[in-house]
Amino acid sequence: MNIERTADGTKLTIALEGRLDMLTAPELDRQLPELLEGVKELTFDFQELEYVSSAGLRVLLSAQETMNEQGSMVVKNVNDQIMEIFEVTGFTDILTIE
Amino acid sequence: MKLKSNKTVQEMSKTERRRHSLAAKTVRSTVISCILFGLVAELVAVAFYAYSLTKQFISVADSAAHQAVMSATHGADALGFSEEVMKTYNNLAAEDRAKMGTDGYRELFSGLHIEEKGGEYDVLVNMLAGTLSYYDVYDVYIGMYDEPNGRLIYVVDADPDMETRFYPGDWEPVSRKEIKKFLAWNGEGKLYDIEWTDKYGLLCTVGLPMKNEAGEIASFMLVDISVENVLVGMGEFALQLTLALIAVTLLLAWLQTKRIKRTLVEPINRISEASVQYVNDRKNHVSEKDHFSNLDIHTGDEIENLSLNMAAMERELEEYEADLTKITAEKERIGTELSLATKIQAAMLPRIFPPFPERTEFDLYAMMQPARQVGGDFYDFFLIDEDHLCLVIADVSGKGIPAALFMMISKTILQSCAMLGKGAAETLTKMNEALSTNNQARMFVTVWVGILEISTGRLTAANGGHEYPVLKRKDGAFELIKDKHGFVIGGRKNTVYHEYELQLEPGDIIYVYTDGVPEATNASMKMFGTERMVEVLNRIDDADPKVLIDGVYESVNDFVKEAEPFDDITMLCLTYKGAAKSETEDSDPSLKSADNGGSGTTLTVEAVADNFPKVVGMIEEGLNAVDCSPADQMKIQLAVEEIYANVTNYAYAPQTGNVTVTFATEEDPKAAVITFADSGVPYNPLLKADPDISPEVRRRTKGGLGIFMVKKNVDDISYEYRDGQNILRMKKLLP
Repeated sequence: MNIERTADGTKLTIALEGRLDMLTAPELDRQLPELLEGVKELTFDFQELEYVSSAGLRVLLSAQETMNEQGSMVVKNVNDQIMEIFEVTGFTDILTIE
Repeated sequence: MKLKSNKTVQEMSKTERRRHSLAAKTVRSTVISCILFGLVAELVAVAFYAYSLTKQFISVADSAAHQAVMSATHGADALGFSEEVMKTYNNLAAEDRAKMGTDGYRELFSGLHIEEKGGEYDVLVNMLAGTLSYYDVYDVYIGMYDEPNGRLIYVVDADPDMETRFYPGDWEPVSRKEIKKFLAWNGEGKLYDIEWTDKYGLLCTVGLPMKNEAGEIASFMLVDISVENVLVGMGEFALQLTLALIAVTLLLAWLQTKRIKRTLVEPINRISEASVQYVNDRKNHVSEKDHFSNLDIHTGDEIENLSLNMAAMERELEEYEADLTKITAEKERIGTELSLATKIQAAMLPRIFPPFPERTEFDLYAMMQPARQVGGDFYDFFLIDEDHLCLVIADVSGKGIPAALFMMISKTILQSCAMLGKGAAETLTKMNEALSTNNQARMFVTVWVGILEISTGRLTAANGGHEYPVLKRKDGAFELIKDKHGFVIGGRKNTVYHEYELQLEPGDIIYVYTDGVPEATNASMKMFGTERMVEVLNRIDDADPKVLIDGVYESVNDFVKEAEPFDDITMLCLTYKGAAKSETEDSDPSLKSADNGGSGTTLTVEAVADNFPKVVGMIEEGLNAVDCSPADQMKIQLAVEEIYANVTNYAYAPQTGNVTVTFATEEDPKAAVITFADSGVPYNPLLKADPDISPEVRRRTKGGLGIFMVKKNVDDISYEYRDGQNILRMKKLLP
């Protein structure tokens, strides 16, 4: 999985490419605290993301919780399959999806 | 009286009943006894009558004789004439005497001049005839006996019938008895003789001797009495008496019947009617009472006693019946409670076999056959945890309800102690402590308890006075294990129990039982015995516990046959099949073909996150081969990931172990089947509650999310723990 960061002041866009699964999610989880420092507006771009498992969902949930305290977070360009996962798990109510 | 049929009295016809009438019987017996008495009385009376009549006649005849003697001796010379006749007779030769009755003979007495009117003979005849007519006797005559020849020689005969009159010198034979009696008479009383003679029939002769001056008997004055008169008189008397007796008999019979009817028949009939009424009322369930008490019979005899006894009997029957109803109700109640107790007791023992169908490491079977409705034996088995199975067999002292109650307590205490994770020995020690305190009934229980560590086959057992267990090694025979016995449970306070260990290998069988098996006794008082029991087990030689137990029970029944079952028969048997082997030992992480005809693949890897791509790769490869849509691919991958993550995180923590993933496909309907097998701690992830995914509680539900996603993304998922492995199988239909 590739993690591509685009920072603009207090705005940060993280573009994920490939699979966010049990293998890759811990890596993202490890990087997140550093990445999110001082960020007010966080955007996850899932344009190139193929797959999210529950491990990935947990990382998203933890990011959302961090952003709830310091700003806002949106997820965009979610494909149909991942959208279905969000819907099934109730993440559509937790995340802001554009 | 013996009845010919079994009819009761009221079923008989009237005529049949009359046959037994007491009144008729009384009349009959009265008449018979009166007739018998009358006959005897009449005989006595007639005899007495005849005697006194004869006496009177004799008296009359005697008077006539006296009168005749007086006149014949004073008014005539009877003596002289007598002597003259006798002299003539005595001088006759025997052959002349034999001529008696002929004219020639009479010629011989011509010297007496009997034809001479006014002569001696004539005077005498007239005198005697006068006496005869005066006294109205049969005959008056003078005669003398010729003793040597037994004859009476007539001197003068006043017989009014000239045809039969004797003339002086005529003679006829008379009995020597009469002669002797008359000649030897001493003058006391009256001289008479009654004799049967051919010529005159019954003849009574009264005599009076006439003596000359020398005192010798010259002749006898003889008077014959008409016996016919006596007979006629007697006949008349008897007739009158008979009539009188008949009248009296009839009167008596009538009176007696009346009396009997009043004092005997009627009261008996009333008792009889009361009996009939009593029987009918009982038949028709009429609750009328006092059938006999209301009779009011006061005959003052046995009949009154009878009626009093019947009344007493009626009262006692009533009381008895009331008691009986109570007792029967009580018995029914106890019976119902007993059958309930049986049901409760039966429900106490686990009776569903196989008890743990998902456990493949052992086969288990048990049975309990109580000798009575409720027994004192019990067996038990339960899982203490996933890896520990507790086996129990026990026998409570005594039988019936007390034993059943004690059994309940024992079983409950034992299970509570064992479930706390205490070992076999400590369980028994605690149980003894509980049961021996306040054990007022002095009951006890023998217990064998074994705790099997399923994964290793280590059996820890303790024995509280129970029978030796039987063990069969895989390739050996059934043998008794002479294990170390503790004292019976509940028998003595502060007893400490010790445990021992048996290492069961796959194929080993352990069999425990209560004394009902070896002590089953047949009709000739022989016991089944442990030797025979072990022999039967070896003969059956089957690994299935049910086959073994059924076989032993059958041969016990064959042995005992018709004899009354004496004790409960309880058995428990376990075949250890060994912990399920995982396939980790013989595999390096490599792909290999699955069992099901090559339509799938198997991968065994160390369960760590780094190996996940290998697993996903295999699944992807498999799914690509069956042309799976990307959406389904992702769903399957999601599920696979969650399960794999579970295994890596929990199965072997903190160490690691292997996991075997099998991918297979099915046709009709088309589906992918993925199986995960690991030898880690038994754990069923499906039991995890679905997470509440609402935002408010999401923090707490983090852990359940994965399995929830698995459930959402596949069509079927199942878990089992088999052969020591957690096996999770999921299926996704592929449209």
